Amino acid sequence: MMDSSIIFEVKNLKKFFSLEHKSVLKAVDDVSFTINKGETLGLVGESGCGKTTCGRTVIGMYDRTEGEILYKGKDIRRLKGKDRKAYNKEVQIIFQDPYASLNPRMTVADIIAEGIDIHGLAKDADDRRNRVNHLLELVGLDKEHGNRFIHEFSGGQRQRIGIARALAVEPKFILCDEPISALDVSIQAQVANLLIKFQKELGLTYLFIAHDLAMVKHISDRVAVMYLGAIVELDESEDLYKNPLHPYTKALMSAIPIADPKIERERQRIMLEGDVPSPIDTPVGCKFQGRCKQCMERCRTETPMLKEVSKGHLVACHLIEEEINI
Amino acid sequence: MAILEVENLKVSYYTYAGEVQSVRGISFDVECGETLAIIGESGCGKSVTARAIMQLVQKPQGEIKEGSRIVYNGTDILTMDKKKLRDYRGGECSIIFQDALVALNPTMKVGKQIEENIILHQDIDKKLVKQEVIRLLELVGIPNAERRRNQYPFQFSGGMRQRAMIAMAIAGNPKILIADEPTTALDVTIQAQIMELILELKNKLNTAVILITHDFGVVAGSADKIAVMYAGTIVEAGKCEDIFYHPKHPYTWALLNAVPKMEWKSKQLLDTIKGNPPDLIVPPKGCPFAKRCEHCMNLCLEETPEYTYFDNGHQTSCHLYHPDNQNPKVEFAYGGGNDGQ
Repeated sequence: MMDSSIIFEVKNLKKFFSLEHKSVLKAVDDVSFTINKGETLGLVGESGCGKTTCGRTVIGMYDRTEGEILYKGKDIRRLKGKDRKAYNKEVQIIFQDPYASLNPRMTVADIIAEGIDIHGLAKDADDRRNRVNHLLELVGLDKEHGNRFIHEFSGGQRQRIGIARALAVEPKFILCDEPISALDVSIQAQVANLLIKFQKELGLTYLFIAHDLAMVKHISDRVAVMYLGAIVELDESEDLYKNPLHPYTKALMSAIPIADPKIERERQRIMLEGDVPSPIDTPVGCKFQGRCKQCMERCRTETPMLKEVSKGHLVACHLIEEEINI
Repeated sequence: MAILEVENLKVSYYTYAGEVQSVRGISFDVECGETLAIIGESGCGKSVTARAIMQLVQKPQGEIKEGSRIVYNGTDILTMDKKKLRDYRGGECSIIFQDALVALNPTMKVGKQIEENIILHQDIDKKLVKQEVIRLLELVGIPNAERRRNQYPFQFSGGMRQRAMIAMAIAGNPKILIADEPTTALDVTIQAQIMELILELKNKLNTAVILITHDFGVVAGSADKIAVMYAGTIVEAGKCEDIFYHPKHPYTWALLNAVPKMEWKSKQLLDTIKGNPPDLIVPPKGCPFAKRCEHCMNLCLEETPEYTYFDNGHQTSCHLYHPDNQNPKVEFAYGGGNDGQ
């Protein structure tokens, strides 16, 4: 019996890319999580940790190597015919770079209406126009903007068009792949507000990928921290930021700059040395072993599993495991 | 004494659409061992200011307007001849760019690129140059400097590249270091490393640092003074604490509140700044921020505000502090109290 409150269920997902000389890039390596209806799951991590690949594999843009992805209880790979079309309509994506992801030769109205046309949502030309105008207004643009091309807009406006395009087909789930990273601070706030507003009004579910930790905390209900293709910690966003357990999460949290000179000058940073190692031919055991100050013998031989330490708080670390005996 | 004084700096770029007045008369100074942060959004003229200080504004498309003065150690760099300028650039004043991959030469070994700067600006025996390169690479925290010296930029990670850029910048023992969004392209953990490094070097070498950024978080821990730029002008400047705890200009208020704070409740709506920055081909009459300002008065649309001065060199250009302003006093409050309804 499927729990109807779960929209996506991801089990032991793996996505490998084969490279030359028989080496394998393990972009996503054994990741499991669920996304509940109406919530925002944040996915954070440094660049190259596999968060974008993970998001795209989950919605089926990349073909997975191994594992299971269930959308409302059904395997997305086996969706056929009507189910497939419904899935394509219900699951949408907003990209990081709105200029690269929107067709420069199409007018804004045509970009927004493309999905409406494909799924036959508009009754006639009038309805189509009204829908486009309504969407433009919804994201805070003018209906005259529909006749223009993408290059005539600023970054923030382009991202609004990207959002309008995603909303046009009345989706249930949106993958937000760093939608605000490329924008200015004041514009970031505008776009973040839009996303929050639409979630409240339309009951959308988001998988929100970003590296701006403060913004992720602000937008998400739960946050998963990724490192080198694996989820190392997952918790309610408020709790995770208050009480991070995994050494990597701790370091990540302490690196967030705080806009307050007194706090900033007094706090102790946990400095991570070096960079994220290459995901090609990763070592056996814990992925974080090379940069972890508390690395033990066991971490080099045995891969830690994601275990629940308190309700809804999952950590993959031998140290935490031994501390609280689970 | 101030090592660098900028007075009434005006920079324009000529495009097909017309003359873009990128920087419209700004003044500031920096002292040795001091960090000045210039904060603003894209297009506000902060990077152009950095380029002007380095004398990198290229003619004919760009021009530093007459009446501007950039005084380094008593001499105006705008009147320097080519030879002096060569010593100044990279020797007295050097810059770290945002995107190290673009700024570094892809076809040249990293060590070689650093060497160039050493040979140009240091009086050093040719045989010792290699040692010096290794010393610099180690100083900026690059492990295996001996091997790394012989690698190309593409073999370096983003953080390492930025470190190599910093090594190159400090090779000439500069008195001023300009960091133009040094960490924007980097991850938070690497950002923390690089900022730490810049501060450490500043204290060790007693250089003046001009930090250009759009992130208040980066500034909080490192800046002594802050200048907030908007539409080519400095709308507010002062000591770091004054700007964070007693900001005076509505634009600074809006910027501070646009970034979510850790202690705020999730999913509340953030304060936003309506609209977009003005077109600098036809700069607006009056205060440039007037159209987006919540406290805009009739006067703001008519007359450009003069600076009002407060304690500790804190200054702002806003009509709210006009002596004849009869309206009730408005003060800054951090957002986050409301739950976004």
